[in-house]
Amino acid sequence: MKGLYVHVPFCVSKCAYCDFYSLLGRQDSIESYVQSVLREAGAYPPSFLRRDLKGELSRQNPSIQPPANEALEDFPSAADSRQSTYKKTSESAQTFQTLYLGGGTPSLLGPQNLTTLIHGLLVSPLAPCGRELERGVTSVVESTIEINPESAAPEFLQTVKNLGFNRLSFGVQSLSDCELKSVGRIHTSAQAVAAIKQAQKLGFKNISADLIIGLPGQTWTSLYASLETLVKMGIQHLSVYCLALEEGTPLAENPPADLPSDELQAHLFEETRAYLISKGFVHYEISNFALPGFACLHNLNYWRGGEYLGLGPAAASHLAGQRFKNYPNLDSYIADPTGQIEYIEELSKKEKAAEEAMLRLRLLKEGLDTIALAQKFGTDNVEDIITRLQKLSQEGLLVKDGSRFRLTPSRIMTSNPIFARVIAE
Amino acid sequence: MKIHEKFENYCQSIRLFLVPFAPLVILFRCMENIRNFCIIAHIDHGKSTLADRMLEMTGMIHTTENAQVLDSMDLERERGITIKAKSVRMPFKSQDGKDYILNLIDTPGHVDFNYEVSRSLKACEGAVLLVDASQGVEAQTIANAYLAIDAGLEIIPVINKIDLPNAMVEECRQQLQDSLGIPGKSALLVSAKDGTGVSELFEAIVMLVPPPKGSSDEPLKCLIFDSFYDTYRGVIPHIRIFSGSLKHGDKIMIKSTGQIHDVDEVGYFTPGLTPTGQITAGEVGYVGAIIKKVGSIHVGDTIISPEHPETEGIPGFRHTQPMVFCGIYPINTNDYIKLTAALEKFQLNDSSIIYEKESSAALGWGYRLGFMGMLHMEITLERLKREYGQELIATMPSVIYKVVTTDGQFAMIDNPSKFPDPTRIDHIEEPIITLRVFVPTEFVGPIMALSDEKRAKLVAMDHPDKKRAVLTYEFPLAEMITGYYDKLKSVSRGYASMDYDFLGYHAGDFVKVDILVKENQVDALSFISIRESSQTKSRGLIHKLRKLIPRQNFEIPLQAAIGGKIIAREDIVALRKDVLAKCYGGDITRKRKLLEKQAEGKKKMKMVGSVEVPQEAFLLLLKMEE
Ligand SMILES: Nc1nc2c(ncn2[C@@H]2O[C@H](COP(=O)(O)OP(=O)(O)OP(=O)(O)O)[C@@H](O)[C@H]2O)c(=O)[nH]1
Ligand code: SF4
Ligand SMILES: [Mg+2]
Repeated sequence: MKGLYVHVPFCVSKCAYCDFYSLLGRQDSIESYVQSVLREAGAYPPSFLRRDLKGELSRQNPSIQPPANEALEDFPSAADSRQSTYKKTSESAQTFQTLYLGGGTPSLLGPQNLTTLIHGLLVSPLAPCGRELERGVTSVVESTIEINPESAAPEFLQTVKNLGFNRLSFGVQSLSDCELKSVGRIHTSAQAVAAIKQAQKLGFKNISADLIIGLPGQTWTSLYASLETLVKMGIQHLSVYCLALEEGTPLAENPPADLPSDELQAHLFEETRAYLISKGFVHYEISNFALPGFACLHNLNYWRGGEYLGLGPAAASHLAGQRFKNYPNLDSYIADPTGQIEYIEELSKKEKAAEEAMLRLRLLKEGLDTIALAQKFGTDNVEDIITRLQKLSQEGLLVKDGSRFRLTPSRIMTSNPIFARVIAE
Repeated sequence: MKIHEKFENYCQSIRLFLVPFAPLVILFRCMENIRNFCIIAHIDHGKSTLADRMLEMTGMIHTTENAQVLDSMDLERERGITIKAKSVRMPFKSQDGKDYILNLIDTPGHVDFNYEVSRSLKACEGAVLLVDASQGVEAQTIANAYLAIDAGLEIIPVINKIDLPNAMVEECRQQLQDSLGIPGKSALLVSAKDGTGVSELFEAIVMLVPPPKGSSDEPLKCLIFDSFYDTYRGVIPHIRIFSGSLKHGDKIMIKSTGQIHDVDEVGYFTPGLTPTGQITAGEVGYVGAIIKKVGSIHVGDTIISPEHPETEGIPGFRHTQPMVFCGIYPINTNDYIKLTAALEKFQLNDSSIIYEKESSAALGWGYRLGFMGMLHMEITLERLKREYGQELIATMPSVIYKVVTTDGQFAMIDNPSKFPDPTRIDHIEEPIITLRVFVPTEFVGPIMALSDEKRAKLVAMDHPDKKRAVLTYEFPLAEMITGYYDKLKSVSRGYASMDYDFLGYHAGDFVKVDILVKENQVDALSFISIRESSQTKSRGLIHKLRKLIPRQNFEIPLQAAIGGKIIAREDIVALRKDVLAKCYGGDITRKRKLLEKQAEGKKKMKMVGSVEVPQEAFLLLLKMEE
């Protein structure tokens, strides 16, 4: 396992587009929720995986594990500063090297509960480097917490800092108050800017912001203003998502008239990409831009088909080659945090290989190395995939570079049909 | 003589007859105690429900959980209609203490499945004619009653659904009398739902329906009135034995081909196949003879004994005259052979379809199928898909046009893409039907308005009684297949019913419209239209197509053209955004499933030049009028 994700399912109000698992008005359950997360962590590995994982640990099969330093190879500056810690921790498959608190709104935990949670995780069987409690999460290569601008009180950010978090991801979404309001975000652009400044003052050197393309009324002028402000503030990472109308959300039920068309969204995305590249950002994944050395290692692990454990209701995991997910139900989670598995996905090696190919093609720079894929899954299981990749590159949808394939940049916004053909023809 | 008088007389005569010949009767029992009858009616008048009650009362089924048990096909259950006629044999003890073997055939009521009715009649001596008390006599009540009368069957009129508060028993009696000359007074009153009157109906059946004629001592002679293909046992013909008998080990000969087979199993329907030692003259059943070669046996053939090759064949069934045609093509061109095999087997179970090889530049090799109507077409395509696993593309339905060329020759063309060059065409004629619409008088106005839109010519209007009218039209068949029936039902709140026969060919000002997708003509989408409405139709079609064809990486112009002249155009703009650029956290499964679904959809696409066209584009166009 490389990554540990904790899902914090609390929010103050529901955004119009949101279909994440998060609950309103349940903050009174935060304490018991934290205890349950620690119980779930304490019971690791999940009973159905105990045998598999032991086998894997004793085998230490190098072909299944990507090279230890792969996570860092494209980002030399990060590699320099973090290499030593990384190597040390990568020894044990049972502990994590990246930590990610997502939600929901993790910043709603408040200083007390966050401290309990992190300290608890560091004395759990998952803790890296033999429970170095005194070092906080600095013994983890990358530890991120998502922060919503309205709940980024200075004392909370200070706690985050003290606990050793080294990366913050702000849910900015837009710096136009109009746009924020139109989808029911409860913070202003000023709050977002202030929160980021505060974080910088506290010495955070790896800050990310989420932006949404396709908000009602959005234009290139308004989007550009948001981008420019954030870039000028010197943040290191931007996640740029496209607004999706998810079934059952208020936005999908009553779509406003001024929702940007697909054409406009595509245009906004192209402009964004060009602008950020001109400012030195690397477009390393379809939705993610980073200054060199600041790609999100936790998320990179997802795109590389890596293993991770998700704690909390609705959290997804990938361990011992199996993907599974907890029920999205806070109450049942609190009652029985270790008995929440909603499904366990059984895929054949061929299907796993195709899945990983599709995931890795999202990594625009790194791409997909077919030799490594064949090594990991066996030549027989990747033959068909390679044939399909070759065909796609002949059609100009992928770019072939030796044994590596990458998505053609102009096809980023229409990549689903391409990935669909990678998975199956 | 009125039916009820006949009934009395009949009982009397049997009684008189039986007394002196009691010992002999035992010898004849085989035939004397058999009654073969079918249930016929307009659609939804309650045939299958009545069959349920009969099966229940004879102990063939125990619970009534499943309504219409004989509608065993998934499609029948889903749509609540009977598609295939079904036989079932029931033991019955009459009030006079005698045991009978009743063979019931439940028939479909929809006009498209009329061939099922006419074939079933050949296996029966009597027909129970149902009339829904809340609807009265409707178009297929009359059409099916005449079929039965022409086949010489004893008709037992029954008014059903008398439990309904709006039952109009007296009107129904009168309508039977007026429309069919059947003595309305003699009609039995039944509720198939609650069982009222069903015992009386049983007694009437054994009294009125004559026992079958023919003897088991004469040489074998059976009519194949239906069949199906079983993977293990080959073709299983459903037969009515007119003389002789059949048992395991016998040899049989198919009269039309002279082929000889060994009988492996005989039996009857309960309604499943139930093997028995032997079946004899007068009975309805099936015969298994491991006939694996599908083309070697046909519905309508006579089975005889090879020892008596001189036995005469039974006149088969009248050939069906398909009304609607469409092309079907496998989605995957390599599946053509499989499609051929599927059609051969399908035809065994539905001898009313006809098919013929054809090819399309856009779709490759396929077949042109002829159907009795639009429902028949829809059901057939669905059955081919479900029962035979065929992934198909169906082209727009068409009628047969008579194309007269400038050299004075003519050709009958059922596929618009096969039309000769416009310069060689002198004129085109279209098929016209005589259409009779039965309708309560208050709906005459809307029906006339609707029919006018469809180029119909009113030739007569009759009033069989005060409340009802029969409108007779000369009606272009082509207009029938573009949603007339559904509209007829909706403008009359379900009360109108219709019936039609082929009349002849009439000339008109027709043009052939071609459809071009990104400059490629798609032959499978060409259609014939009268000139006047060709542009409106083309626009509608192009518009529909635009919505159906997904955006692709390039712009796709869609055009309709007559000759070389473009009469309608819309463009599908290039795909600009189809990307998973949303924060899903580690939920990769969801991502993968989304893409898998897309990949699945892609498999159902047909390449037209460089454009992926979904199969619905070819079928949905038939609903172009709506
Ligand atoms: N109230 C009432 N409803 C009935 C009666 N008989 C049938 N029905 C209802 O009428 C509808 C049609 O019945 P079916 O038995 O399917 O009619 P059908 O004549 O077999 O129809 P097709 O085979 O499609 O021609 C069903 O909803 C039945 O429940 C009856 O005696 N009383
Ligand atoms: S803050 Fe995030 S998780 Fe909460 S409602 Fe808004 S989008 Fe959803
Ligand atoms: Mg029925």
